[in-house]
Amino acid sequence: MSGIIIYALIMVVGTWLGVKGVLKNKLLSKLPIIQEILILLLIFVMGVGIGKDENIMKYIFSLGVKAFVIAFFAVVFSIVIAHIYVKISRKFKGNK
Amino acid sequence: MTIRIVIVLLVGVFAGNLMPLEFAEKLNSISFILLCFILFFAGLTIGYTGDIKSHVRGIGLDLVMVPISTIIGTFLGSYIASFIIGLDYLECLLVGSGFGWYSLSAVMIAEYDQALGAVSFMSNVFREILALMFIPLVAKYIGFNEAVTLGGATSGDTTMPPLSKTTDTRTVIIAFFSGIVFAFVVPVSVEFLIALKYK
Repeated sequence: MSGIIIYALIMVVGTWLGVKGVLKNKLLSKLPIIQEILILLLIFVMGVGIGKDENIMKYIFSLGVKAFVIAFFAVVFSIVIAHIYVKISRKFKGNK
Repeated sequence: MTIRIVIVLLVGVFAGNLMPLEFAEKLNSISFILLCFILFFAGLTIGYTGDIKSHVRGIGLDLVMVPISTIIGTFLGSYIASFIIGLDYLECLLVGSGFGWYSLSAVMIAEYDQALGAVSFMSNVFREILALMFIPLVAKYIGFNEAVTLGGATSGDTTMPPLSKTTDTRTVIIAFFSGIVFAFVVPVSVEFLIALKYK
C-alpha cells in the first residue's frame, strides 16, 4: 500500500515543480526524449522478465486472447456507461 | 511510439531468453527506480502544460463525468470479462486498471506476476489499437463524449489525433483533461489492486 503514497507523491512533486517552472527551456524541450528513453528501458526490462519465464512463452497465445477479451469489454462498457450518462444529463438539461 | 515499444519488448523477450538468469533478475530490480522517474517526468509535463483552469472553464459536469464513466465502464467490463476467460476477477480488474497506459501498469504488475504483466501489456496495447480504430466510428454514430472513453489514459496523447479530427474543440479539452486525470488514477488504482491481490 505504501507504493500508492510514493507514486502519488512523486507525481505531485513533479507537477508542482512543473507549475513552478524550475526547468530551463533547453531541458524542457528534451523532456519527451528523456521520457521515451525511460519508457523503452522499462519495456526492455519487462521483456527480459517475460523472456526468462518459460511458462509465459509456452502460453503466450492464450494469454493474448485473454488480453484482447479484457480490452474489448473494457472499451465497450466504457462507451455504454458514458452513453447512459449523456442520455441522463440531456434529459436533466431538457427538464430545466 | 507503439511500434517502437513492441519492438523493444520483443528484443527484451529474446535477450531474456538468452541471458543468464542471475543477470536477468538483477536487471528486473531496477524497474522500480525507472518507474519513479517516469512518474516524476509525467508530473513535470502536466505542470508545464500551463493554465489548465482557463482551458476547462465552462465545460461543466462532462469534464468529470467522462473520465468517471471510463473508470466505471472499464472496471465493469473487466469484471464481466473474468467470467468469460476464467481469470480471477481481481486479476482482470488489475489488467483493466492500466486504462491503456501499458508502459506503467504492465511493469508494476509484472513485479508480482510476470504472466499477468504480459496479459496487462497486451491488453492495454489492444485497448490503444481498438481506440485508434473505432474513435471515428463512435464519434460519428454514438457521440463525442463516448468517443473519449475508448482511449482511457491515452486520450490526452496517442489517441488525441483521431479525436481532434473527428470531434470538436470542447471534446478535445475533455480528452486532454481526462488524460491528466488518468495520469494520477492509473498508478494509484494499479497499486491499490496489487495490494488487494498480493499483499
